[in-house]
Amino acid sequence: MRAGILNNTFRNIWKARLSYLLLAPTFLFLLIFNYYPAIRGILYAFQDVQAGGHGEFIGVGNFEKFFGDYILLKSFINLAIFLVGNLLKALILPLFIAVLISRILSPRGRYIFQTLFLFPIVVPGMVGILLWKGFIFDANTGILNNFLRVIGLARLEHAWLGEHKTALASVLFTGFPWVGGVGFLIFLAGLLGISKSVLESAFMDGAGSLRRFWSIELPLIMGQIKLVVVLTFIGTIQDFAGILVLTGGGPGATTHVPALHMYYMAFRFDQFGYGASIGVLLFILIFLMTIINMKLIQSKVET
Amino acid sequence: MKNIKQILIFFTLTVFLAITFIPFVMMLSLSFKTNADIYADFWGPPVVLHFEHYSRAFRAVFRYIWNSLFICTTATFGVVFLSSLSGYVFARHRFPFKNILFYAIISLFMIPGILTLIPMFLLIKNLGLLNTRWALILPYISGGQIFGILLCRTFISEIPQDLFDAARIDGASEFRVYWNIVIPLSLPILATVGIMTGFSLYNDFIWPLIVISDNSKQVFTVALTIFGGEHRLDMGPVLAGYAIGCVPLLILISFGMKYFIKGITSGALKA
Repeated sequence: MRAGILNNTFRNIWKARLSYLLLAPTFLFLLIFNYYPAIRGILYAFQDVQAGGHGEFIGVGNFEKFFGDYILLKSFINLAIFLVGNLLKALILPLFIAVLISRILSPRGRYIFQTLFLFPIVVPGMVGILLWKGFIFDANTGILNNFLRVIGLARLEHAWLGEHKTALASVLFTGFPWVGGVGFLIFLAGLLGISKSVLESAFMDGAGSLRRFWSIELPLIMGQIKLVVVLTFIGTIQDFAGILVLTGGGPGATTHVPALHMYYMAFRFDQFGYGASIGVLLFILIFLMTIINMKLIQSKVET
Repeated sequence: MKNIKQILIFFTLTVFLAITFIPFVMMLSLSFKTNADIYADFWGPPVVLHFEHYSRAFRAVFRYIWNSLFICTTATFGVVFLSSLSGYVFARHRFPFKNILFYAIISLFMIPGILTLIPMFLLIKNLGLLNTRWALILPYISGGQIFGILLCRTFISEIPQDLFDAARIDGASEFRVYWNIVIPLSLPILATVGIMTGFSLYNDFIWPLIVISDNSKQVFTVALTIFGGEHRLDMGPVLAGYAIGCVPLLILISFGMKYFIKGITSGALKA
């Protein structure tokens, strides 16, 4: 009987061989470039891997090193600041702009503003970062100091990215007003997706503009907010390209973040095993934060 | 009252737009000025348009933009092909372990790039692909197809079954069904997948920085950081180089804005 079921399964698999054949390229790619590196990354974290890619298993040796790594500790404090800062950046102004656009009565006007606010995405992210670095924050030629001089506030001039006091704030400020991108588009799609009948009944009840936002629109776009929160968290933990180019983590370790530390450890100091262990730590952090985000925001909607 | 409110909204939005656009407008304005012009009048529009900055910048960045375009285009076509093929199989075929295999793909969303950065580098190194285009193209195709398969499967499963039945009755082969039914009918979603993929790959920075060490093979985003350093003293041509680098995305987004928006909001509405 059991053998019969097995036989049947094999027959079905053989019958469907064309399906598997068509999926083979996808899985071949995924096995080599996605599954294997993911598993290997976790194994490397327990190895003393140098440049060659082979190393002794050293148990939790890499993880024990965390506690003596002052820069890593400092970088986690910075990460916490970046997480809060980036969350505020991703939520407040983009949501504000999306609400304003959604309140434009003429569809044509809505479309024009949506397009204009989306337009900055044609500028490659790295160009944006280099513009801010070289032409806004630069101590001598930057727009910011230039502007301060023009309005007679020359005493407030700074080498924005190079000074201990201003570096972190300057990195966070980069890209102000942080609207030209996809975040507001997600919010706008949510706002425009709210059914007219819901809004009309609110008008009947005489709900004002602010009331309409707090009690009707905000609860109804919690899904979109959740998405942006999760994406921002994941992005902040992982993306270090901006910091690498803006400050390189400096001055000192004032703008250092864990992902950047991982990069330096692996690609500047050949400590691939230690770097991989930081990668695993960040993976766990992302995993936990994603779950917590989902749970927290969900329960908020229910109450 | 209604009108005043609308005017207020327009006004506020315009202020925010202006702030958003300042860096880019200044980039264009300063790119036409010599350093002397810039020091004389930073904010004003250029008096003489120094177009030669653009020809100088073009000669400097052309190679890198070409590298970026070649890699992005190749990888994007790979992603679109595999996404449509596997998306079709998952949407229309019935076979054992279909759900398990599909979830095996979807579960990769939980694997962040930060975990695989180091092992992927060592893999590429051990495969002897460091400093080649394949070091970029192959991982791009592999990673890009995950989201693509999800989008294509959803889209293709909504194509009416009658079309497939009719084709089968006519004795169409599997290849003909894919090529004559699936591909033409799913062009909108393929455009979305292609534009989203091309857009994000053109912007990638860390991976090419790590795997490409030969300057002449470098992509635009990474080369920029070198280019800016070498020409530190001449702002005009550097900014002209930045502006030239925006052209590929400008073309991509102007033709595909609709599909780009669809790609972003399709994820959002499901959330």
